[in-house]
Amino acid sequence: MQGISVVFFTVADLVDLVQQDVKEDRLERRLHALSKPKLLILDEMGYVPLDQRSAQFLFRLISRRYQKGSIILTSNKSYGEWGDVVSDYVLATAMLDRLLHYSTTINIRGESYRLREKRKAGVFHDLTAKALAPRPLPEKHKGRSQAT
Amino acid sequence: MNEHRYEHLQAILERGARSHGCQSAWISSPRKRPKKVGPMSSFWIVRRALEVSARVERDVTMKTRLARFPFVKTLDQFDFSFQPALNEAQIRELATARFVANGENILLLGPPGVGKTHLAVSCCR
Repeated sequence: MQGISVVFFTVADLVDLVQQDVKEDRLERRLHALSKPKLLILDEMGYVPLDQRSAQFLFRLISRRYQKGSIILTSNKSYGEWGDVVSDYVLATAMLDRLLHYSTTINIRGESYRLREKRKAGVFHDLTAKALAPRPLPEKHKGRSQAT
Repeated sequence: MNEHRYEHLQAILERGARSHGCQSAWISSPRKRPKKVGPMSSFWIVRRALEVSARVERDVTMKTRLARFPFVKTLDQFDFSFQPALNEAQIRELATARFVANGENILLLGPPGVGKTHLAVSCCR
């Protein structure tokens, strides 16, 4: 697996870049540069909503690379929710259409490795449950966690 | 030069040739050549192999730097036992980068912290 040119970007970085490039009027050059590498990794699609310009940029990038260069994309959103991220359902559908034509989807279900140690130690309860329904911990649990 | 060492050098040369898009390495086939390889030419083979392996290494470090990864991790560092839902064989297949040659895409979906970025980075090391 040598000799392959790769570029790694988080989508948040990409949004920043696009905004800057628009100011400095070099969006086309950026598009060209990002179409070149054999493999482009776009990380964390879905955390940051895309404004219209970056959504269009991303779409053009994907269609330029279609059947020419590979993209690895990581996302916490399922395909159905992409419309909200891109804030344009038509564009999201077109993007996904091209992305998925030749693609492998790997769906990972599981818990976070970052929080695994914490959970073992019992430092926190259940993050997702807490986020969904924020409420104080029961008295019994509080006492136990102080003791440990 | 003994047979084992010769094969090792040959492997290095082949690797170098491949990463530079050449048809074949400097020594074409280990079957044809070993008998002809005398003490003098074996010196050149070693020298050439060292050159090639150094160049490959430079190439990889340069491309790794250009890629601007947030971190560099390999697939062996990934704890497959922690994500039992994941098909290890499938991931290892992806790491051979055949999909890049075909211009295919990979989409990794999942909640935060399950190792999507780690897999993405290690797929291209």
